[in-house]
Amino acid sequence: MLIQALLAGCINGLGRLFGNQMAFDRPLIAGTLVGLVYGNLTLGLAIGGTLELMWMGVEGIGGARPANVTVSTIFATAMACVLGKGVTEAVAMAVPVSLLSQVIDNVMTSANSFFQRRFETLANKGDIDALVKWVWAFYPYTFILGVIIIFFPVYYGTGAVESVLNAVPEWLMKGLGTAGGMLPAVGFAMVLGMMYKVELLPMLLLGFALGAYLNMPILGVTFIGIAVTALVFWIRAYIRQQGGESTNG
Amino acid sequence: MASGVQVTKKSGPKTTKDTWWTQFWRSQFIYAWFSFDKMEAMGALYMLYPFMKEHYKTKEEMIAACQNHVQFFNTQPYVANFIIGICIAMIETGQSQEAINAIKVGLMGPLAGIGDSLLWFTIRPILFSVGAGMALQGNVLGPIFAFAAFFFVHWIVRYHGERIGYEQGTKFIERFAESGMMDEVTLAISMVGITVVGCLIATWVSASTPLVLKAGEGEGMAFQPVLDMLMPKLLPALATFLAFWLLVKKRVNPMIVIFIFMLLGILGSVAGVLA
Repeated sequence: MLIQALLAGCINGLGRLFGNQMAFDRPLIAGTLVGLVYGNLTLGLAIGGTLELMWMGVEGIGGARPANVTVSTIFATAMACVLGKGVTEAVAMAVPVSLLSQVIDNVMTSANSFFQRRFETLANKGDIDALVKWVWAFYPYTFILGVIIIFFPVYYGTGAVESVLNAVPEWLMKGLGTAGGMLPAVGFAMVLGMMYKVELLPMLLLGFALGAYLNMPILGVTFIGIAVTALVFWIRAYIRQQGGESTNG
Repeated sequence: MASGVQVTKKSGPKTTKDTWWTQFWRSQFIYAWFSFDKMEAMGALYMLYPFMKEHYKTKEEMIAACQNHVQFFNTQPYVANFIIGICIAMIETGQSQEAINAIKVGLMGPLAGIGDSLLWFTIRPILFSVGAGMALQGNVLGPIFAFAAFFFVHWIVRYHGERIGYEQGTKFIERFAESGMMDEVTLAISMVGITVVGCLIATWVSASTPLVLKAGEGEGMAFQPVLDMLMPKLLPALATFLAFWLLVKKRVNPMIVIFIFMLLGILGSVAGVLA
């Protein structure tokens, strides 16, 4: 159990080394790896896949993330493996943990400012050698922090989590499952907010109709989206060319 | 757009291949140093350091450069390589620290916009939803595919972005912006991206109702099939619209919207309206 908890922590540390901006921090990858660590790959795949789809649109834009998907995926998958629970319980655990761990993450990111101060002071003093040393010291620091935040709750928390899970009444578990199913809507709405323009509405409608009425897989919808976009651009170029000729002639 | 610095690589020492790969490796970690006040500043300094060591011979030059690069910098981490590529060419040609900083600050905003919508919200959702779909069928190739494909894409963006920035300097991005190509590319990416999002809503938001309509005595009639006849995935569409309205129109904090949705799910489930 000790080794597994440490390895699960290392997965989070790996994500943090890359600033949680690489694929290691995504639920699909992290969940699968945790499943592998605990010898229950099937469960890891199921939880990772479910949480990935749930949190598809969660991304740090300008540094602000609404929920820490990495810590919560690793925690929930590890707990489900240890306690022999399923995907529903894992989702019910992951949602509150993602909000709580993001608060902790914000505190830790604020602590990065201490390093930033240090770097600035050294740069202003012109002590480049010391600056390089501090830069190297940051790597193990951020990695170990990532390990700790997973290791302690996973290694010492199983009993507590089990009693909490047992104490959670049936109706609340069911409700959290329902909420988990609806939560992707928040992620997709965030994506829509990023890209939204009235001119894009027809394309949204097209994608929705293909998914809802024809149950078309996402790759097929992507191909149709590319085809329609290319056609629109060609037609537009053609109209521009025609207009150009008529004004010239 | 940033002031038009033309980069010509005629004078100055050339960068060695080893240094190039050292810094390409270092670019993977640009976000690790993230702090709330200076954001990616340290990441940029860390990336540029091998070049600075190679090209700044006096201590004064080195100190001035370090002081310059501890300043605020933030962009989408993969397109940052393009900006760093320009900076490298400027270091090689011995441009002033002020000019280098102007390029960094001028380019980070527009490039972040393209990078976010292309990588975070189009390519990654496509690759990872394919991978997650396979994972849910118990296929271990799902995460492997998503991981490998995403790494391939991001290394291409990083490597060639940096190469183009280094070889063509700001000329590339200026030509791009002046010809209106920047807007065109952003529009095309958004069009494909939003089609995918439409499909994602229909496929992966799950909300249905277990309500049973009772007319007089007898079995009653389930309500969900009636809704499906009206329009399949009506409730997921409404849920997304509600989230969009709260987030974008009402400017509610995403955390609070997530809380609202959790409450909605629990209350709806308890009341027997949602499942």
